Amino acid sequence: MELDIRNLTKTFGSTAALHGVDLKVASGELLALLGPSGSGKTTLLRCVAGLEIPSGGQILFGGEDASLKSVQERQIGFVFQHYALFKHLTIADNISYGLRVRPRRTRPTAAAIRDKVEELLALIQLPGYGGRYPSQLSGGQRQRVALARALAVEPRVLLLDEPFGALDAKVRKELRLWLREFHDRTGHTTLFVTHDQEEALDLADRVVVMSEGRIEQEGTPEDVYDRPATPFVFDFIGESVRLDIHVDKGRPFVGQQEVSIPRLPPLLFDGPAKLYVRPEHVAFRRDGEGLWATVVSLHRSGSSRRIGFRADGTDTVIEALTPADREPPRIGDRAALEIQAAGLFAA
Amino acid sequence: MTLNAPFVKPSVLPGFRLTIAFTILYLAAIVLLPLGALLYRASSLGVHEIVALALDSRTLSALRLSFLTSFAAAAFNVPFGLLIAWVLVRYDFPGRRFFDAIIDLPFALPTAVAGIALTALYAPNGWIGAVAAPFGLKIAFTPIGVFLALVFVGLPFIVRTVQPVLAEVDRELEEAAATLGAGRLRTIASVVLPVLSPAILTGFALAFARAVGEYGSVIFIAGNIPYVSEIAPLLIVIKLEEFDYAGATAVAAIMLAISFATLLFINLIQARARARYGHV
Repeated sequence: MELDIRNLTKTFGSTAALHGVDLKVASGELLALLGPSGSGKTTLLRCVAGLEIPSGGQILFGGEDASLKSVQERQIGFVFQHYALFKHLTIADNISYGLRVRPRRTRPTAAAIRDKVEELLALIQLPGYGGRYPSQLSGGQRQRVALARALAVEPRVLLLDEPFGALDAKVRKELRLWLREFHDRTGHTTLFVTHDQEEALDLADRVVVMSEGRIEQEGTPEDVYDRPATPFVFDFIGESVRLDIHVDKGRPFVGQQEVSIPRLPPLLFDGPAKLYVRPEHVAFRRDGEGLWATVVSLHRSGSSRRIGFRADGTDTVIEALTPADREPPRIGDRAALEIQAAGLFAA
Repeated sequence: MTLNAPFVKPSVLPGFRLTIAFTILYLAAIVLLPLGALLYRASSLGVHEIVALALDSRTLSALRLSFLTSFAAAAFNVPFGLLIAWVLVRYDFPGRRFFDAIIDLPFALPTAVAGIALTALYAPNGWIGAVAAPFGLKIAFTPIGVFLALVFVGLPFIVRTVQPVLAEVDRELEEAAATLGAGRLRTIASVVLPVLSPAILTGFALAFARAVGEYGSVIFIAGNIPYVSEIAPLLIVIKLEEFDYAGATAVAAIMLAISFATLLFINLIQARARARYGHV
């Protein structure tokens, strides 16, 4: 089931949570909505689910307008951050809830429901847990049960709201891998919300980066990491330093020195600008051409070493990442920096 | 003293021995001593006489009236108290605080004041009584009047016990049920009510217990016609006024036994629920 979101807006009182969001999700795609808290990603997900009523715009499920449909009619599967399992029901009853509440005409027989529960319990690798209560399960197990419960109704779209947010780091990683495999096997169109970039980049086919109710960038994990489209994405995803520079006749200057940056589109403006550089894209030499700088800090972390340089004529420290076994310079040493990739935006 | 070891977990706020001693002493002095005295007085009658008194038709009809109307009033208050608690918790409307404060009035009002007010309203010449009278419906001086008075005093117990629990109900549970296709009534019945049921049961027990013991607000509106609208607490007072202390304590002991059995039963239901769902 493909999903088409058109010019979706949502305001709470006088504050806008979504400013005209357009997004297409292909059938069977695993898409991450990534952004800091307050970026509107959860609001967007809840609008798709029908738990939030949009202020404007349309949501199409497989070409059919679902904007005015109730939550119950949308046939979506929703997984909550805090599982939202029914504590007074057994695991089996939790999973079969969506089938048991159907009107008699469309309700499967008791035997069919039992089979479905067994099948789903096997799928989430918790066979034999049907008789237990949610309080007897660990967080990761509960979230898997929540997923099985959502899948039992054979939803057209699966929506996950920070599904691993309440779990500890180790379980998070395990469940993330598990979800990826699970998705590859079952092929549900899946939207999941996260504020964890590692999770989004690791798991998703496509990542949608949101900020302040707008989509900043959408693309594959490679796209958003390697080619951030906006200063926000540069800042939010991965590590980067921001340098205040200026552009003169289409050429970038750091202080008084011109810098050469490969694969930069032609600069069509003059004046102050911001340069975003990732530490792994900074190389340094003791002589030759480059952006001359002074070593101001050295910091070893695990297998790599971070070296801080202050470019001549600036206050900002540019970090470079080098293998720890490479002979490090000393503080105060001079070096020529080569910036291998960077983003440049008008200030 | 080795009492400490098995029960007490190390805590930054010690004081188990002191507090347990106080608790036992206090409960003994405030609760058990009077009840013990009551049983002692009643026992001076002898089993034979107590049974005779219990089976006396006037006692029986008073006990029946007391317990049945109390039960009915508490049961009646459950759905309506639930509805009021729901409105007060879920909606923010102008005057919400005012209505919230009104709930406590039946607690705060001297019961005699409530009784006089209710009688004035429901007596055949009162505002509501006059409307009902032409239809042949007598409210005051009948069991219906007793029921109304008990509904009045019992309402705050349901609302106040349900309210905080309802406020804590995770809205995501309702949303989860909705995404799974459950309609509104279904969601309330299968997701919200089970979470609230221990609180509802507690509120019901409190309202029931209060109603059984209620005296002030009932005697005015009841009219106290023997065999018709005479409640058990009034029968006790009547026996006391006739200097029949033994008879009064006997009726009291019977009431105590029934009340205790009822509350114990309700507690057992709750303990079972708790054992099953973990903490609800």
